[in-house]
Amino acid sequence: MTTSSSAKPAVLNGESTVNLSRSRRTIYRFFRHRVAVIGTVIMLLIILFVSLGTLFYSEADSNWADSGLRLQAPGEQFPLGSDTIGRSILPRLIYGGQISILIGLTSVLVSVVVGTVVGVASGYFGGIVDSLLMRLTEAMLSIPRLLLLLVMAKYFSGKIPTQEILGRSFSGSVIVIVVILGLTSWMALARIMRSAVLSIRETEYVLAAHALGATHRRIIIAHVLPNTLAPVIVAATLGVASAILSEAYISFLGVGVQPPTATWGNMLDGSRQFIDDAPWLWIFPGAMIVLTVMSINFVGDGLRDALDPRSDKKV
Amino acid sequence: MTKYIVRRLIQAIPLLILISVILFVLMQASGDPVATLGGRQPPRAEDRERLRRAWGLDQPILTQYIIWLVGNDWMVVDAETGETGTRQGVIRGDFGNSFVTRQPALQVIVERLPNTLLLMITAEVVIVILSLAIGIVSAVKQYSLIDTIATGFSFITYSIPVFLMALILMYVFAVNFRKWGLPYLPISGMYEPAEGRTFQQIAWHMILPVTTISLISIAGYSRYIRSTMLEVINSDYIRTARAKGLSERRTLFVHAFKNASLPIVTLIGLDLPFLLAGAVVTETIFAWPGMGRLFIDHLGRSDFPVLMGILMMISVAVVVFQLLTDLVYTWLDPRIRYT
Repeated sequence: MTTSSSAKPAVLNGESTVNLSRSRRTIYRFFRHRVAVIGTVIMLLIILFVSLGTLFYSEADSNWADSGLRLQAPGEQFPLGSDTIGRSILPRLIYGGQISILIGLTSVLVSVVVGTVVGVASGYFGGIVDSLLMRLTEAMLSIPRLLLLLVMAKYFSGKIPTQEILGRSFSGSVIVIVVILGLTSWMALARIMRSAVLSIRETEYVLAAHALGATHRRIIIAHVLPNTLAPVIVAATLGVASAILSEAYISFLGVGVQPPTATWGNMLDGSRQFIDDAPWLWIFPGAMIVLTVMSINFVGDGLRDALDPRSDKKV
Repeated sequence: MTKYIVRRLIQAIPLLILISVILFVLMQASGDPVATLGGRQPPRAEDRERLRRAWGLDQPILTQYIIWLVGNDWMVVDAETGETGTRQGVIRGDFGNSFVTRQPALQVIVERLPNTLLLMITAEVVIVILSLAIGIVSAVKQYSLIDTIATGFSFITYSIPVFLMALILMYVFAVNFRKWGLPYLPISGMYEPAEGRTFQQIAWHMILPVTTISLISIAGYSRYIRSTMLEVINSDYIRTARAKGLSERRTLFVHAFKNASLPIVTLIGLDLPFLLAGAVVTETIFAWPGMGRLFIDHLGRSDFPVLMGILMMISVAVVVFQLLTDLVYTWLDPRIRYT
């Protein structure tokens, strides 16, 4: 980044960014990206909704069902209507959103860890390790992900009991979904990491570190990983959106997160039968999924352009 | 060339075996098919034991896998009578019998396959035609009104999950059109039982599922085609073609498009088999009697032979389409040669 700017100053809308530090310049570029800013704003609004909403409704509200008041239209008692067994949609939207976002973030964490380990191991050590891990990656990429998720969700379902974490109880299926989403989405990341490591491995500073007697672990942690950060951040951001979508798919098909824990995905389960009479069953959770996924994709696009040193012209 | 194809096919074998091992292990652990049998009148314990033995579920997993792969007609399964097994194994086209219907799994799948292919091929044709049209127009008239509308449209549809798109379309074109007294579209099945399986009925029932699948994919495809076309249009040889005085149409469709089609072919070739998997959602929502719904129905009953059959068929399709994509390259771009 600095070498290219010394040869040809990076200029943004007539303002020079040469004197800014690398991270300041990235932030500057990100906020120059109109779509990314829109995405950030929508994302903040969603976070406010699922966090401040808890001031108005308790988790008990979200699970409290009055079977006499099923499928009520939005009105005074139920601001966004009630669902098929008489639970209010609005509090479920708030608490379900927390779970959906939590699943998105944690499953990406799992996939980043697995993807990094596989990618770094195969790029750094090469040889037999590399060919075995890459065949595994290829095999996983050839299996349709949605079907694999359905099979795995069924495999693990019911094996993990309800957990108490931070005073809230999570259906064991939440953990199952996080793990299987993570285990089926690391392949692209592993490939990115592998190719990054392959090129970094040949650089002079890694050679120098070797010469100074650094261990494999130290070279990987101190020299290789920091230099792969940019593509990983972008892939992880977009991964959150894809994880939220995937959770919605498998919950919609009935093998995802099990009730009473709400997610935006399982709120949609069963709404098809009432498509004639109760559109509020799917409109609200559906809109939340679309807005969240869209905002994350926008932010991911912005990050990609901001972190890519060659993207000065595109901003 | 032939040598290259043969080599690629040989390389695919260990990959497919690895895939089948991963799937097989997951399948075996995913539930007990005998436990879900019988519904309200579950079989007696000794019957269950007998069934488990008859289906080979009492064997260790490695044995089960080998039987699944190469069959058991070459080994003695009953020590007392010296009888050999009857399974022929996947490599000889025997996927075993469905635990639910007792028919050969392959037959169960193949019965449903045409319905899925009908839906998916129609959708793919719509997707390719429309996204090419939108992508090329957006690229040629960059930043025009059409381009802006297409961009906005694709930003939104790109983030909509298939099932939500299906619900929206059903709500508008079936529920509300009916309320407004307009001709409304059917939302489930392939045809009205009263009308029978006629061409009009099937076409009429296909409109909503095909639109659902197409709208989502068109978003991604048309953006991709736009950016590839833009890259090509701004290259030197297009300027040369224009300078030679070629008509704009010839420049665009012969010179630009042929070069832009390479990445487009990759996208379509690699995506196509995954459309089959995407059918799970669409077919479930629209009650379309295809392979995707078969998968969901039989997943609930742990019907391994059928599930394995579907998954392996799609995985084979993925591998084959990767090879086909590479072969189409040589035709589109003679600079690429495989040896």
